[in-house]
This record gives sequence, C-alpha cells and structure tokens, in this order.
Amino acid sequence: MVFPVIHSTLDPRALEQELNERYALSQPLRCQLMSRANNDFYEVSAGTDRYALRVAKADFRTREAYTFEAAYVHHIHGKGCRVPGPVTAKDGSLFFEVEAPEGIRTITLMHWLDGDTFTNALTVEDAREIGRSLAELHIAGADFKSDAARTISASAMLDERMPHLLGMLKADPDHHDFYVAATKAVQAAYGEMEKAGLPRGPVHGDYQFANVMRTASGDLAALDFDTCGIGCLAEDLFTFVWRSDMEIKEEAVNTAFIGGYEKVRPLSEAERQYLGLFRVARDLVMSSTFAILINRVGPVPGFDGDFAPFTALTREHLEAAGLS
Amino acid sequence: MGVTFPVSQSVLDADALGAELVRRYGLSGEVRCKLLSRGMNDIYRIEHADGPHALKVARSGKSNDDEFAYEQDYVNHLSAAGIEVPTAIPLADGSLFFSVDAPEGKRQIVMMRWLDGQPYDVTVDEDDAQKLGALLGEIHHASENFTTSHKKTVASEPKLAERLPYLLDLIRERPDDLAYLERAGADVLERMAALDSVAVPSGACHGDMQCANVMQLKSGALAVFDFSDCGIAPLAKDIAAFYWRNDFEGRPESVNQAFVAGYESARSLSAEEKAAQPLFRLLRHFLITSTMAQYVNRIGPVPGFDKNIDYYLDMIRRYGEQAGVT
Repeated sequence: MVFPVIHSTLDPRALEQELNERYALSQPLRCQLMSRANNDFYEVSAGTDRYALRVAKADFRTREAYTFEAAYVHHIHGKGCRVPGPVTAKDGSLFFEVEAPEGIRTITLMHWLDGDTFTNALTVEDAREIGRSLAELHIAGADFKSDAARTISASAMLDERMPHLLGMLKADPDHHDFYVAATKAVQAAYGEMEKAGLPRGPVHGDYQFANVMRTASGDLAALDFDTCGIGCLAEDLFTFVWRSDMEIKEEAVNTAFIGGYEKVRPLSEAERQYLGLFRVARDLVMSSTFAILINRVGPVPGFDGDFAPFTALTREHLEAAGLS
Repeated sequence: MGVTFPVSQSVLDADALGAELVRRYGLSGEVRCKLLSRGMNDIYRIEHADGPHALKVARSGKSNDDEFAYEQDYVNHLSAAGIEVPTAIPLADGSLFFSVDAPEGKRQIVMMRWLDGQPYDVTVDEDDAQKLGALLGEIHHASENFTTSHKKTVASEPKLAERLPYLLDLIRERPDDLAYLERAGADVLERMAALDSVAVPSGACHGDMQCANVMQLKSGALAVFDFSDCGIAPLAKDIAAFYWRNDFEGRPESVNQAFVAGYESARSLSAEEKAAQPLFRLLRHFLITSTMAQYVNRIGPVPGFDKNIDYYLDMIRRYGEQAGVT
C-alpha cells in the first residue's frame, strides 16, 4: 500500500506529454520545475514561447473557485491588464485537473511575464505605483461577470483557520486567549461592516509586494490570483499593508500605497471607517494561515514559533481599530 | 486508489508518520511529528515522551537498503568512538530503519538522536575552519577500524558520469561550455581512476563535510550530521566538500588552508594526497553542479542555481585550470 502523502511533485516529463495533448503549442516543449510551495510552478518553453505552469495544491479549492479565478484573470488580461492570463486549451477550457496521489490537482498554463517581483526594499514611490495598479485592477474587473461564485471573507477564513493557530498555542494560554478574544471582536465588527454596503467586486486577495512585478518594459504586472474572489474592494488594500507591516515597517510606504490607490479610485467615507478593521483582520488571517502551512510545506520564514512580533502588531492594530 | 499522475517526489503525511512510529518503535503517549525541512531528504522533528528525536525520510532511489544500513552502522561506529553524531534509534524489532512505499518509490526512514545545538554559520572563519578540519581528521581516524557487512561507496565518479548529461543538456545552447565540460568531465574521471590507491588511501568518509553539516552543541562540543553521502572513498577527497561550500560562500583561501591544517593535526596527508587536492576540488564542483542539474526537476531550484549558472561554470573552469584540465 502506498504511504499517505500530503504533497507530491508532478513529473515534468509526464506534464510535457499532458500539455502536448491538451494545448496547441510550438515544439520542442520543455517543462522545468521552478518552485515548490503551496502551489508548484514550472517554466514551460514551447519553441520560442514561454509559459508558466501552476500546479495547485491538491483539493485546496473547489472547481468553481478555479473556474472563477481563470475567468477573472482571462477577463482582465483581455482588458489589457498585465497579468498571467490563462492559455486556452484546444477544448476551450482554461485549466485542467489530474489525480495526484494526495488528491485532485488543478493545472493552469499561463502566459509568461518577464520581470522582477518587488522586495521589501521597495521605495515609497514604488508603493504609490503599486497602489495605483491595484485600483486599476479593481476598475478593470468591475464589469466582470461569472457564473462561478467565489466570495472573499476574512470572517469566514478565520472560522476555518483560527482553530489551527489556537491548536498550536495550547501550551501558551496568554497568546491563546488573546487570539480567541481578538477573533471574536473582529468577527463581531465584520458583522456590522457587512451591513454598511461597502463597494464590492473582484479583488486580487493577496496584493502583497512579492506578487507585483516590474516588467522588463517598466510597467507593473500582478501575479498570483490564487486567492481572488468577490469581496470588499477596500479590504484588498490590506493584503499589501500586512506584508509591508511585517517586513518594511514604514508607515510612509502604506500611506503612499493607499494614496496611489486613491489617485485612481478614491475611497468612500464609509470605506474609510473600516480601514482599521480590515488591517487587524488581515493580521489574524495571516497568522492562522501560517499555522496551517507549517505542516504542509515546512517552516515559514519569520514564523518559527515566536509569536511575539505577530501578536504585538495585532494588539496595536486591534487597539487602533477600537476593538481592544 | 487507482493509477495517479506520475510524481517525482512526495512529502509524507506527518500524522500518518506519527502513527507509523508508534507502531514500529513502540512509542507510548502522545507523538507529534512536525515537518522541518524538505530537500534531498525530508526532516521531521518527533516529540514524544522519550524525545525529541529527528526523523529522516530519505529520497527515493538515493540509497538501496544495504547502503542505508551501512550509513547507520557507520554513524553508530563513530558514536561509539566518541564522535557526536545523530545515531539511529532502534525499532522495536531491533532494526535501525524501515521503509515505506511512497508514490515515487521506496523511501527509507530512520529516527535519530536529536542534536541540540546550532548548525555552523556558513561563513566560518579560520579558527572555526581549523576546528572543523580537526574534526574531519578525527572522524577519519575513528573510521580506521570500522567494519560492517554492508557496502557503500561515496561513488563520486559514477555519480558524475550519470549526472553530467543533465548538466550538458542544461547548457546545450552554449557550444563552447558544452565542449569544455565534455572534455573536462572525461579528463577528471580518467585522472581519478589513475590515482595510486596506496599513496592516496581510501576509507569510510562522511561524503559532505561542509560547515552547514556541523553543529555546535549546547554542551560546546561539535557534532556532525547528514551522512547521506557517506561511504568508502579516498580519505583526502573528503576535504573537498568543505572547499566547495567555502568557494560558494566566497570565503578566502586562508579558510581552506586553516581547514587542511586542522585536518593534518589529526591525520597527516601524504604528498600524493596533497597533490590530488586540486583534482578533488574540481571533481566536487563538477559533481555538485551536475547534481543540481539533475535534481532541479525534482526538488525545484537550489538557491543560487536558478538564474546564474555562469558562477558554477566559472568555478569548474577555475579549478579545472588549477588541476591542469584546460
């Protein structure tokens, strides 16, 4: 009997064969593993063309969620946004599935983007430009319609993920109890926020600097739409702010980012009221997400068991949001 | 489960591993298994009443059972000789490891003593290098009376012969480099075969004695781990793993010299062994580069090997020149 596995790396030669059967690609075709993490990525060269191949983590999302993502990225790619649009297969589909030992894995062949992703060395001016680019994505997605439903809700994510973090904190009652109370306060505030009718639409879901690329031509491209969906547009800003808080730690960068966003899409007064809530909700979502990842992909840099920096930031943001 | 898509590598389920350990080692109480790192081998930390322990899940195809048994016997021998190493914990049936069928093939699993300390920083200075060199000399000295019914060789030469085609394929669009590597590879293998086995003696070797595989224990003692590449090889060739890592980190030659001086404080090198050092260094650079080329599709890019292969080719040419391979 084959031993249970939680993750596998698909054989590149077998993938080449699969791609040849499913897509009309130039020859010769070569597939090379680029990275293994939550999703695995391969670089595909077909003649002189280049593509990126994403093999999603098994059974991570529903087929409907992948359908939404592919259709959304295809839509904004068609409107001129610099994104890794999915390549259409011979049968018209935008992705396919294979049965891996650990479950069903969804595979998407995407157009290649050449450039460098941002790092924590980004400047205030970079942050402003990244903010503008997020607003442009929101505007480009405004007329997107999909039969597949995929909503983004920090509150629902906390329902699913926070138990994993609390499990890790069993031996640390102070931290454990803080996260229980913080989650309760944030979820209650979300309940109120959802009644306010804030502008909603397709959101990227993880617009942190590492998912934004300066392309060879100098413009910006957005990568990794793995967690996109329909959500509050203003909430999407805090996926950038969270990573910036963790690694850059300069409020001027966050201010420039939001300022850049507002140059293209000004926030309403109602949206502004909830910015503090979105910020602390993202803190909680990310801490609980890391707790899940640890046993799947190994240690996450910066999350090696010392919760103090995460907790300190969450406390600060909880207080700033008036929820402590 | 029916036929699934072919895979090149897998990560075993930590909970299933914990249950397997309870069954095979007779562990009692709560057992927690946590994935620490994925690489050529996967390493887990095992928490239980008599723990912690480290668990190594070997890459499929890396060693056969006889070779894996050699590794455990060698580590236990070194431990008995007073070297700090991650000895294998016996299973309930007395054996030192077990195997499971992973989707990509058989994988051996060994639960080991947990080494409590800090691995060496990759940028060691001359003083540390001398200590590490002396430790390798002591390991070789302690290995002199090692006997086992199992067989394992470091096998750098056959590995290079097997893996070089992957490197050549990777640089297939660079005809000058391709021609050089084909020629140099053949030359290295020929020179290794021509070494005088008396003047350049072989014995049990660690196989990857770079600074990152040495740990400063909380007790202050040095421990050495990761014996995956151990086996019989020219003893003096074992030094070259340190050179390679040091070169990779851009450390000065004085650090290598300190390592060799430390080594010679425990075991003197013959004139022939000294003369063969440039060849061993070249072989190491050649082998590591070819190995990365082979495994890039299995474990993903190795840091530093994803964009800049020029560095690796430069190293091969540089040490090729020093070894007289042009």
